[in-house]
Amino acid sequence: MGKSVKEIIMDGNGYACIQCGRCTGSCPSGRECSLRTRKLIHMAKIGLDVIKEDALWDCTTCFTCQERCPKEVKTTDMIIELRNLAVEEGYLPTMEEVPKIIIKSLYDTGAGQPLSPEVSKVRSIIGLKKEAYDVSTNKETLKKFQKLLDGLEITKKGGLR
Amino acid sequence: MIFLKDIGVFICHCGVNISNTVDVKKVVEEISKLPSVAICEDYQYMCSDPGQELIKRSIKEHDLDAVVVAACSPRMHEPTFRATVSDVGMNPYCFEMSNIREQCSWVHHEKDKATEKAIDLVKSAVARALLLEPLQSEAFPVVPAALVVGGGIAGIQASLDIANSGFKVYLVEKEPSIGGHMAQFDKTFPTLDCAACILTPKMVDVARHPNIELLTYSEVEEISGSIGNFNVKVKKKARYVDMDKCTGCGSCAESCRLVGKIKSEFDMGLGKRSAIYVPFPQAVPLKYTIDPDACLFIKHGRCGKSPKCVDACTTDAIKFDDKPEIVEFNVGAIVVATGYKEFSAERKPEFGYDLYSNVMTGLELERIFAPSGPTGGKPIINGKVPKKIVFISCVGSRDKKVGNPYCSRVCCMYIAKQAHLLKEKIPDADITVMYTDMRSFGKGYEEFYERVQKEGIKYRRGNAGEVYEDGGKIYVRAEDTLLGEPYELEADLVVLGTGLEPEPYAEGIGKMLHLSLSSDGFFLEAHPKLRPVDTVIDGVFLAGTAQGPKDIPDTVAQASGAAAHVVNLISKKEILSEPTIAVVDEDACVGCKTCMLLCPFDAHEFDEDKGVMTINSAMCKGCGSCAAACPSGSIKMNHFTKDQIVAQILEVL
Amino acid sequence: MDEYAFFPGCIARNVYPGIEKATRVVFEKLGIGLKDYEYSCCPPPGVMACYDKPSWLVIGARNLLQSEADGLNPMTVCAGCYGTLHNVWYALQNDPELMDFVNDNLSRIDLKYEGKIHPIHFLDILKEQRKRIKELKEIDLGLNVAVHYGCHYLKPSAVTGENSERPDLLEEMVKLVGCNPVPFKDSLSCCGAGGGVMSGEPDVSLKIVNTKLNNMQSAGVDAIVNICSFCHMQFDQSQKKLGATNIPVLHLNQLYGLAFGIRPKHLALHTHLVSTRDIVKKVKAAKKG
Repeated sequence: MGKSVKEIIMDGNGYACIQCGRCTGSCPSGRECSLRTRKLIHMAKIGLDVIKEDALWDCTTCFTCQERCPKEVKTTDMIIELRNLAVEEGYLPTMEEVPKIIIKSLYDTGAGQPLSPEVSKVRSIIGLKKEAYDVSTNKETLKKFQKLLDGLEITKKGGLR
Repeated sequence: MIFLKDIGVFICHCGVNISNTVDVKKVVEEISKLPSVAICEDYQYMCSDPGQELIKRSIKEHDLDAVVVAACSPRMHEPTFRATVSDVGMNPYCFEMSNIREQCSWVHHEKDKATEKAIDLVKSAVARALLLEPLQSEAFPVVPAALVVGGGIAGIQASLDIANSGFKVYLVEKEPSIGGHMAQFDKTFPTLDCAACILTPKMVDVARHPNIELLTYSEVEEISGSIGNFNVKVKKKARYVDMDKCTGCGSCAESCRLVGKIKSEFDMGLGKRSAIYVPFPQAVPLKYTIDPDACLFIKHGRCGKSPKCVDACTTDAIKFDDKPEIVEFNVGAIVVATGYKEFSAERKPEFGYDLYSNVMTGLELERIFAPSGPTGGKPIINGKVPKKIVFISCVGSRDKKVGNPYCSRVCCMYIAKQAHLLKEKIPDADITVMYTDMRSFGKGYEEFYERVQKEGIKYRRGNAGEVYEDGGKIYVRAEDTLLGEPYELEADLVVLGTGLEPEPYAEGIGKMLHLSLSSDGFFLEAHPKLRPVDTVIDGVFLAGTAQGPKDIPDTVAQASGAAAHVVNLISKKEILSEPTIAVVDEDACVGCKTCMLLCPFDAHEFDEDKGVMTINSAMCKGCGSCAAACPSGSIKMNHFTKDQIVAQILEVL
Repeated sequence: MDEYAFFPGCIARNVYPGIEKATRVVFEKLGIGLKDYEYSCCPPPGVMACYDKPSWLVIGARNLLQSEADGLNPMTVCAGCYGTLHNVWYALQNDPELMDFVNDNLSRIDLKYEGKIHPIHFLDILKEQRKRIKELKEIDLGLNVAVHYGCHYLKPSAVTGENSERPDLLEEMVKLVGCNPVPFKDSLSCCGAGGGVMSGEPDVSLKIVNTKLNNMQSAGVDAIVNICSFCHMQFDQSQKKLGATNIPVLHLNQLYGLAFGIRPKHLALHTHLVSTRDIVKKVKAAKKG
């Protein structure tokens, strides 16, 4: 599906942004690092390489900026979609291996956070089944799940194919 | 039934606007072939003097029965050409205009097809012209008086201008005194004129003017009729004080059992008043009013042993048996000057207005400044003089989240003014204005902005994200967008630059008068550029912030503009109505009232005696809804009859 | 009997199973049925949606459709899972083209998403059970707690319908079991884990949660009570990494479990990284008293 920056801006009402700065002024992450939500929207609008910005990955998607934007710009949605584009072009977060591990775990086990033997023990001690009933319980279901993922971009972006 | 008439057709080149795409000569050639066309000419600019002369000459020479001009949109020049044909004795409703510019040459590229279309359009215009009938306007007498709804600066200015032109004005104001919001202000930007000083002389002029009947503490209940003759019913609310006896001495308020207990609306809830009160000391009229929701005697039937106000009053002016009174009068024109309401700041919870007492709105701060206000003009907020002050712009304006996408126009300047006043009263105050843009568009405004910065007030670009409290102190967070850095400031006082919204009370007036609203909720003017004081309801005009946010200079200018339009209207003995309206065929009408239910202008009435519907020709705007819906087909639209329209359609098919 | 499809999410299954246990016990006591399905990871609105939103929609839809045949609404205990399931549901309700894209992919494994069920977060079920909760309460816990909503339960309010600036439901719900919600600075602020920041930018994640933990500490609280497994994990794990604070972390269902008299061990409280010993002591004392 891969949206272009222009499409991301249109879908997110980005053209309406008046750069008032309430987004950055409300940002819990921006207080602790160099994330300036307002600036990312501005860069996208004027055609600068926003997907190369490291700060693009500092947003926790808490949606406070999108809540408070007086022009109803979908700031957080835009950041999420710009990240999709960034990954496509190879601009990844600092600890780029960790998301890849999560994606691989999702593929192999159906869970982003896999079950370890220790936690399995805890499960039985507290009276739960050793392993939760989920997509990996039945081998066939897991195979189908993996087939589904094979045809999705996420496995490509996660370096699985 | 068509009988042969002589039609004159005139095709305009409109410079090259039409002739670049449409082959005008070909059109002339084809149209000339039509049997009913006595003459067909073309010219560069038909609306020009020579063009109009050509038409007039042709009408005389060929004894034309009707004229068709094929040119631009009728919205441009129908009135022009109607006047042209009337000049030589032709009824203006025997004139038909065919739009071969906006609807043809301006929207098509292919010359052949555009020319074909132009020919079809003109042919259909000719077909209609054959069926046009002469129509006569009706004359209505005009009542030489006006109603002004709203006694703020707009209403005051309009009333004075109309009254000074020699006409009677009824000025109706819902509060006990005129003055509106301007009376609440301390100083006005950019001149720093004292608002009361420039307003009160006008208020007194209104009170003294022999032509103005001032109806305060009154509300318009009902308006019927139409331009030139509106019938108005006004309810004068019960004051419980005899206006003739009250001297405005104030002894009653001083002695009231509830003195200092009731929040004063004029002081935005920051000051207190008694149950018997005047809203402010310079009120016009300076007569006291009893608040029936607060007064012990009115609410519970007793006030101690005896009401203290009665005891204190030396002229025996208190009358608890006062009742509301309905007054009725007729006017020829109405000015709606109902003003605005300040945005309710609790609708922006991130600014903490509902939580923290040190967060105030612009209008509340204005009352703190005012010498007649709750602190006597001293800058004391919750018992202390603030030293660290933050202003936040655009609160409730330019904000789709609260449904106000528009800019309120005055806030940038009133924030600058208030920042200046604070600095003047508290020289060592640390004042920051958190702004999105600085709109200092008016005369002296940019210079004032510079002055204010020179006084040491800091302007930091970037609107506030949130106001929070920690350890008993208030902090404001924002991003300084010019530095690209988030920051926060501690504040003893946070002032929210709240915007303007339409006055809720005006909704009732709007419904009574069938006024439309623009998308921002303010009253809609007839044309945004060229008719800012008119509405589409003839005889009803707008003045002041009722039409949209604006500052005092623009309000006064607009009020005088509305007054000029009013005087223009009511100085006529009579006015002519538009004859292109609906007419009922009484023989066919069955009195089902379908039309009455549909009419947006309340122009229909049921005649009890005849059992048929009648249409008020002054109120009908010729929209056609009733004619379309009438089950017995007994409504005819003058100048847009079924026959005429069908003839047009058949010609193009 | 009320019944829901139980969507525990990876954290409650595989990292903090005390949350899954607590949920099962609390809902059993409330008489609400929970049925299990072959769910996968939601997938996370952080890492997954940010890497590839279309894939996120497809995997999320696969989860949603599992309970359609039974007509049961999926219930989440993690605001992150809720953020995914609810936002996927909302996006597909309102965009037929997206729905087609999702079903084109699902059809490859013979599945179809109809959009008939409606994901719900467990807090919205509990809020209708106030009376029953009071009846089941055996111990008035008497704890001073810092409540944490988690961003995706509240926002974006256009989708969730919640009051994101002045919510008060969670405060009310902890009061039901005798806890005192203590106000603290920036109480609605994000925990710092979302948006893939915990994995991709761990320094920033720790800075954000550190500030929040310090604010909670300054207010003087016995525990943090959350309605999100992911925030739960963030608070518990980060305190270990930061070493500055030691505030025990409880998921609301664990809190209710304690109030209903369930043994702390059965809620896996002993497995938390930040020791819950002090709370357990307080609860024991409250039980006796």
